[in-house]
Amino acid sequence: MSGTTVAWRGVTITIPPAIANETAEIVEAYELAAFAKALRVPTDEVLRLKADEAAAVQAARAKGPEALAALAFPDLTPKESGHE
Amino acid sequence: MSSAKHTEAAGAITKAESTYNTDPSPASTDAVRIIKPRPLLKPEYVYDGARGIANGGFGRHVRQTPTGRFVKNTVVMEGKGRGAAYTSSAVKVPDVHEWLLSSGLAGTVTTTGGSEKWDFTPTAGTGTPGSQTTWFYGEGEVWKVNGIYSDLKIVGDGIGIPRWEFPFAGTMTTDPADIALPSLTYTVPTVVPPPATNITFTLGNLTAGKVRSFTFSLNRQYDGARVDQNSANGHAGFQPGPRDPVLECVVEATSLQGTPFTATSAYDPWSLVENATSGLAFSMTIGGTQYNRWKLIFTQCQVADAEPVEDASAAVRKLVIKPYVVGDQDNSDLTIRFD
Repeated sequence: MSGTTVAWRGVTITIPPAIANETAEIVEAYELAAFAKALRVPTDEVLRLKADEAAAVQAARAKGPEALAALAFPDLTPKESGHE
Repeated sequence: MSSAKHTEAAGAITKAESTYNTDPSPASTDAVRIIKPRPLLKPEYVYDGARGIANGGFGRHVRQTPTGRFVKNTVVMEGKGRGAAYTSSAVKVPDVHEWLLSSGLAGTVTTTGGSEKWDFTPTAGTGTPGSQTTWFYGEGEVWKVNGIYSDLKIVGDGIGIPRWEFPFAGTMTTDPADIALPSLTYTVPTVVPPPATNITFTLGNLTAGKVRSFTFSLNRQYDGARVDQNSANGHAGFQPGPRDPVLECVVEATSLQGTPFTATSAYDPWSLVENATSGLAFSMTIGGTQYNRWKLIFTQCQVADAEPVEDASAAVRKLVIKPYVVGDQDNSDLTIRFD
């Protein structure tokens, strides 16, 4: 079967069927590595971004539905850099 | 004397197949909650072994061994959300997830904080359709059904919890076996499925329509049998086919709305059909709590048919709403969203 698509902050990765059938720990480790590769950053950076995101969501929830609805996270799609 | 096989000790575990018709060995943590009427499985055969009438007499010859065993039936479930954010592709929609993937739909999860969701959209015609294996426990036996392709029907015939029906076909190479029902782990059993009350219903500009009932049918072909003389089982599985999605809903009649034939509180079903008004956006949301609600979305649709129906209280119309694609390889006709 075709893989499962995961979208996060403008970046999309595909989980192959064989990986999707593994345990949650293996699936999430694959996602972490795949996002790090797509964003061209270390996995620690992905974890930091997700932790910051979770904290912001928790703070917005505490303020109420309007704050949650207004929450927006910037796109992380890597920009192609020009070369001289 | 042994006790009778219990009819209520039942369950099912479902797992997506990486390779079609190859059992991926579902685990006890892959349990899906099937509601009644539970499928009472019956083996069927492509070749049933019958050899016809004896020459010169009226009796029947001994039967040959049947081959090409398969199972066809329907499972019924309730649609509900996770009750918590979908933070990774491992955090799936309870119960119906793998069955949606075997119904010609592909899953995309968005994990952006605060707006997590699963979108199930039709698998591209150039893609590989998903299949799954389900082990059915019931009546003291386990039946292992492989290579399952399915169809989908969502029935909301009142203000109760809509039923998600999955007619399916699968092969059966393993014989049924005696087994006591094992301890199964269901996903978020304490989350209660949302009922069809306080739903949002949008058809074009119509947002205040009073909906009596709805039935969504994906009408996906799933049971084209592939006879295989080369295999010992005689059955290579099934081949899925196209879909013909349709939403039938009964909506209270309103004053007849002039062009474009839908307004906030009024619509003209006869003109919508007569003019084949296209480009209508449709969406319906069941459930009001984030992470425990689901939506049926048609990016573009038309009202293909309309008729008056009997109702005890007010004039109502049955609308037949059909989504469509915008290109030969487009798959934007429908989305089932859990957010």
